[in-house]
Order: sequence, then C-alpha cells, then structure tokens
Amino acid sequence: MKLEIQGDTLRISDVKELGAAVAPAFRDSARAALSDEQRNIEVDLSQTTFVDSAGLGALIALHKTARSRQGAVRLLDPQPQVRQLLELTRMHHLFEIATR
Amino acid sequence: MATSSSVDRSATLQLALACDLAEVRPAALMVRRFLSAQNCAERDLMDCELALVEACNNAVQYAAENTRDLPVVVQVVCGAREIEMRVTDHTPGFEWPERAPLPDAQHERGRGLYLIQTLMDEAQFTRQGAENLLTLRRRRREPGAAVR
Repeated sequence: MKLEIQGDTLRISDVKELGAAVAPAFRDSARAALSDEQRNIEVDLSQTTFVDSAGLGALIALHKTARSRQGAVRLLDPQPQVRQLLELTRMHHLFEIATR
Repeated sequence: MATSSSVDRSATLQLALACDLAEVRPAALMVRRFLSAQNCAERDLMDCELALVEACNNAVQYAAENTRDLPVVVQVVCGAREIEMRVTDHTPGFEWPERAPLPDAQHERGRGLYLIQTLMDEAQFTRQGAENLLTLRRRRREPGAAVR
C-alpha cells in the first residue's frame, strides 16, 4: 500500500485486496498518515481485486474521519467486483466514485 | 488441506482452514479456481467468492476461545446446474435471520449476512451438536451473464 500527501488530500494506492485480515491495518495506516492539513482521502481501487464487508467497514471508518474534518472520501476506478459490492450495499451513495 | 473429486458429473472440493482470518482469502481463491475449472460463469465466481469469504470470516471471528484449534471446513459441490458450498464452524451459533437487513450507511459492521443472502439463491444455517453448518446454494448462471 502506498500513501502520499498532496495538499489537503491523502492519496492511497497499490491496495491489492481489502479483506478482513488486512482492513484494520489499512484503516489505521491511513489515519496515522493524516496530519492536520488533510481533510480529503482518495483511495485508488484500480489495483484492488477484492473487497469484503470488513474492507467496506474500513472505508466507512475513513469516510467518518474525513467528514469530521469537513472533507470526503473519493474512490477511484473500482474494478467490477468491487463496484458490485459498493452498489449491493448502497455505498455508492456514501462515497464519491470516480473513473479516470 | 484440500481434496477434490468428481462423481456423477458433480465435482467436489474440500478444504480445512485453521481458525485464522489470514487463511480465508487463500481458501476462497482455491474455491474460485475450482469453480472456474468447472466452467462456471464469471458472475458465479465473483458472487461465490464473496459469499464464502463472508461466511468464513464469521466462522473465524465468532469462534469460541476453546474451539480455535478446530478447523473451519469448507466443502464445495459443483453440479451442472447448481453450486453448493457448506461451511462447518464451531461458533456458539445464532438465530439465522430470515432476511438480514442492510445496516445504516454509517455502520462499519453488519453487512456479511446481508451479502450472503443477496448473493446466494438459498442459505440455511443449522446447529449440529457442537458444530454449525451453513449451506449456501446458487443456481449456475449462463457463461457470459452480465456481472449484475
């Protein structure tokens, strides 16, 4: 997983999978990378082949973190399997989902 | 441990996982490869993979402390028309809901049963002595069926 700071945004990429075994570490690493300046979190899901409900929970946790800073979470390029999960759970209404 | 066989046009795969979340994804990928070898549609592979992961995550996360040395057993039977996945666990068990609701969007947990019931055509949970058996069934989709 790669974490980059760009102005007011934390960018997360190179996430291979976001399942129950790794979701807590993903959430905690992202939160630890935030300084006072960042309010938005962008998660590049183009390399993410699998997300389960625990991974979704980690994304929701980051959404709450960003919201507490008056920011938002943006999900980039989710693959079909991940997009299906977001739609089935109606999370596509919670997150901004962008395709580049 | 994995075994597979093919009897009466049905193919069977059995796996025994240690009670550890890290074991779940490799097992689900083995099941995906097994179903792919039976020419299941991509949609079946995706939906069975996610439902099985949710079932196994629950089996590991809710296992009682004194049963953590017992394996979670996964058996998959793939027939011409139907896929059946059975997960045997050693959790204390619970009342299987007829229809698990989708939690509020802000809740970080509680979507596993909803997903299992949504992705599968049928799900049955039965208590058998000190074990639970979750049986998941799904009609096979036509190859090339839309993802959703």
